[in-house]
Amino acid sequence: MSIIELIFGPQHPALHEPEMFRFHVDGEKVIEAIPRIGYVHRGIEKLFEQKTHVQNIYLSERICGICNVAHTLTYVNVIERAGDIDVPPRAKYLRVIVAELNRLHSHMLLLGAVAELMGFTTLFMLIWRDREKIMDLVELITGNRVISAYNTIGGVRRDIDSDKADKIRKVLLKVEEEWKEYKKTWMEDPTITRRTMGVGILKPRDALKYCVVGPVLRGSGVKSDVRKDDPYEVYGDIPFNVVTYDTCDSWARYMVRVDEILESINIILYALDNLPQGEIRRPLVRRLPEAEAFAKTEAPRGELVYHLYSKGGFKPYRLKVRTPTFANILGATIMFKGERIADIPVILGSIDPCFACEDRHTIVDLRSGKSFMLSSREITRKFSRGSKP
Amino acid sequence: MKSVKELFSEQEIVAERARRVYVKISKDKLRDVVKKMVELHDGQVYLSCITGVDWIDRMEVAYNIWVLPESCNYTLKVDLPRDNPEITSISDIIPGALFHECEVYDLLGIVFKGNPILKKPFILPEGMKKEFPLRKDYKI
Repeated sequence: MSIIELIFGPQHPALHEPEMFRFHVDGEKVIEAIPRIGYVHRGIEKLFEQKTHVQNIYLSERICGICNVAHTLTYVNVIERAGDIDVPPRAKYLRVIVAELNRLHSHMLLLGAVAELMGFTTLFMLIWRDREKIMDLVELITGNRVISAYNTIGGVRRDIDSDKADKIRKVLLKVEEEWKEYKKTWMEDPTITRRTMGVGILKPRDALKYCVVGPVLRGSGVKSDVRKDDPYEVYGDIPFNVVTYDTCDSWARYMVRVDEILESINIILYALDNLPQGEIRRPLVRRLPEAEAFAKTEAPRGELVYHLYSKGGFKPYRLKVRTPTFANILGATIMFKGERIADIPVILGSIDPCFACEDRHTIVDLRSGKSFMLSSREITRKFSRGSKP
Repeated sequence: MKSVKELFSEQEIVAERARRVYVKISKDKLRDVVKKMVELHDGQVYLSCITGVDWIDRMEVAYNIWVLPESCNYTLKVDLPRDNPEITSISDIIPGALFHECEVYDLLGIVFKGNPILKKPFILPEGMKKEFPLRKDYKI
């Protein structure tokens, strides 16, 4: 059988985070996966050094549109650690509420898109319908559906009243009810289970060795969640479970997110019930002393890291950002080994990257030198009955 | 030995905060320390990130390693000369370091000897073969 090189990615007209994989395949079987990243490297770390601490809040949330709240939250955390800035308790609770809403809509985006990828369009429609309700809640609190500009140094920018709190409660309880039904589908429906169970195995030891984070690590049975291990804001006071699954396959990684949606709803409801009164921000601090700080948070895709060096003044000397997808890409190369071409989209989806890379594949026959393209839709359609017999 | 902290002398620990330990070690000691950190807790550690900093008179690489059983982040700082910043790779001890080392090399020009995929450009555009944009003398 001829060895074929399959090039996967990188261009997509709509989504961010494109990356390319070069797969060496023997027939249907993937022998090796080689990632190529950096297509949208925008030099933001250099730009951070040119701008002031306050301007950088808005720059940081442009690193990722989907998890923008996680980025500003980690950024303000690292600044507050470096400057020893106190945050009012009410702001901490509000930050948690918006961060969890961010997680909800991010997980729903992924699970819906993956349902569609597996040919389960009904579930995709249902999940994205619920996601719209969450987006409306984000708009209700922050004034914007996507880029929220909510967190600021020393607090948050908008408060909520009891009417808004009631509306959030009402919507979340309805979503929770529906989500329990979807969970049954994710657990039982063969459209999902036959495509994902036993596919893309990442054993716990490999997960740690390749330093994967977030739902990917928890899907390999490792109990690690920044909210629990290194509590920031008020996560230390809020009861919630760290969801882990020990089957180590794509299904486990999706199920971690399914369960996390239910956990996140409970976290928001708890935060609303225990929301303390008081101010929502301290006067803005523009200047930092000479300091070094390391902050991390649990973004929807996993641990997000900011490492700041300040020499004093209005601008950072160096600000390092490590995003969760950067950490997870290497782990994905292990998951692909020995799997089939048809399972590539499902496995790649399970690490929750952007789908940017999935829309265009070039298949090169190394013997004849011929190449042809296959869109992910064609692959999906061709194999929508499932690749496992 | 129960804690990773015991691997370091008092002079090496430069700062300590809640769940954060910052240490400064020599580049010869780094690999030995990382190996012991991994062995001490039977692999229950992962590398969060490698930060490279250009201090103009020297280069610094900071390895941020999270130790799960201790719930603590260890920042291992190593100083390197700026004219020839070179350090041995830890990617054979923690394979997850592969990409992190490539990124630091690409942006700051710190060479990680023994990293099998170290190349330039890694994340920068194809034409940027000699520039190190995160160095302070690189103007934009």
